[in-house]
Amino acid sequence: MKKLFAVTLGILTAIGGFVDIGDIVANAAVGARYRWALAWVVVVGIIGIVLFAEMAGRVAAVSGRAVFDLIRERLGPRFALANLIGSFFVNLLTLTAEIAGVALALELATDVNYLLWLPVCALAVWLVIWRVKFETLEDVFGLLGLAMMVIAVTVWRAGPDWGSIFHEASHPTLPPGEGLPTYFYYAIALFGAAMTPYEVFFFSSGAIEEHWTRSDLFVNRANVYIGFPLGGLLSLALMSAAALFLNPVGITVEHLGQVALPTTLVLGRTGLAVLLVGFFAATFGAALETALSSGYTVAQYFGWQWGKFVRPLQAARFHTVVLAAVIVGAIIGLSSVDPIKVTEYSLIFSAVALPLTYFPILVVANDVGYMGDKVNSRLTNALGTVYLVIVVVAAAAAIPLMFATKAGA
Amino acid sequence: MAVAFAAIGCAVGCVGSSQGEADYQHKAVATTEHVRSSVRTVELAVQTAAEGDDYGPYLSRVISQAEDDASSAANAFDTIQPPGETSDEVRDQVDELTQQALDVLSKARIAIRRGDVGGLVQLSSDLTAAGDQLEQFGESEHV
Repeated sequence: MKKLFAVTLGILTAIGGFVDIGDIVANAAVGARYRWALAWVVVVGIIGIVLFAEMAGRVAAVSGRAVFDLIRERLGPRFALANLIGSFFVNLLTLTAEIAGVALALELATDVNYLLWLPVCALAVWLVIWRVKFETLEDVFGLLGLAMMVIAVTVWRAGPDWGSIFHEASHPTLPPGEGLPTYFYYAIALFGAAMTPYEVFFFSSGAIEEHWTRSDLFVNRANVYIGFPLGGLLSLALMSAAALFLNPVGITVEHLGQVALPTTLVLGRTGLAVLLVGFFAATFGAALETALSSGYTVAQYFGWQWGKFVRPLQAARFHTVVLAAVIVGAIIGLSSVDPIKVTEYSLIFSAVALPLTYFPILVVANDVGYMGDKVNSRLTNALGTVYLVIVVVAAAAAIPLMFATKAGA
Repeated sequence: MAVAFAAIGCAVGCVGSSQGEADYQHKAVATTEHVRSSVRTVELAVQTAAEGDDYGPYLSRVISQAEDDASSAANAFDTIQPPGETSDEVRDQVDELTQQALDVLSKARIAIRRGDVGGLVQLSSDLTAAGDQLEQFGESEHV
């Protein structure tokens, strides 16, 4: 019974913790612009993150070591350093976007400018990391994130023609006046939103924090195979709400407030209140994950003591990196850069940095020396290879497309 | 990093000078579409107020941001040098349409900040008209 409760809780937190500011912005922006013509990318992204996270979780559970620890040992310090620099930069960008996302959620609830909320949010993120137990913060924000389900309720209550939605999603066509480069630019942004590297750093390091062993591989599979796809449905719901309500009147998504309009129209003030809780929990939870991931990556590379399973004094350098990342993220956020633009760029750079972590995980998950009889199956390797090609192509195309399309303008 | 962002942002998103009549017309349409997006956003926000199930701080924020966006788009277009006399006409049309839209958006912002939900709801038809005119301009001038 206790095991079942743990698995159920894991699945629920995986669903609630799946969506972050990148998913919210990217899916709503794409739904408003392309309706369901890019829904296939969400499906490709969900399969990709399931594959990626399952391998990372399995590697952590079997070897007892997290991603960056193994990358350095298996692929050498030089490759790992380049990897660390790229991943840390993207992580910092994502952290900035998440902290700004928390501030934007509070701005919508209070009508107080997000720049005034931003330092408060950054402080709250650091305090929670400093004071709250790992399991508690994971469970609380994962479960609160389930409030995002209100978006799915909005779509369901709107009573759309499901057949026509499925037809549009399965027969994607470009809207009039739209070019292919912009279409693929947004495809990469959506892919980057689904397969953000920090999710894997956090997932694998979290497995170590929770002392996973081989006997927890079932929990790993349940979280990843059930929780992540159900979380991915929230992404499709965000896209659908925008496609149903914002696209027909020509609204382009540039603010978080616009994402909430469909729910406000369908479910009124109560729906809006639940959604704002969902925005807050999704972004705050992701801010915690990205801040911790900054510490995880650096500490694991240098071989420092890390994690929340030891007292802060014993992992002082890890906590210092986390604090520094939160401060730098807050400073960038306060520099008056548009938080939604930061989010969009973070998605593109996530796609660029993805091969840096995906490839080593694929290598280690096939290494009998680390994995014993738990190496990848043939099916996993076949899928893993296909996705390696996809992530490399997306990474190579991301920056040229960003400049060619003026960031999807 | 903020400086790097500004540089990337400018490289990918700054309003450039116009390269001819067609390019100017293209930018005019893009501007009206941008302003129309803001107008339609406020129109939907007002619709929630009309149903009596609104939340003031949220509406206030959505309307203010829409007004800021529309104003930025209109100002950015005004900085572009029209390449010829035909473009002067396009510029005048865009100025007139965006100004009308900005006036309605300002009224909406003033109403919601005063807590005048009734006044806000009364702007509904003005918002629809402003949005429709911007849409018609986009359809007639699309190149």
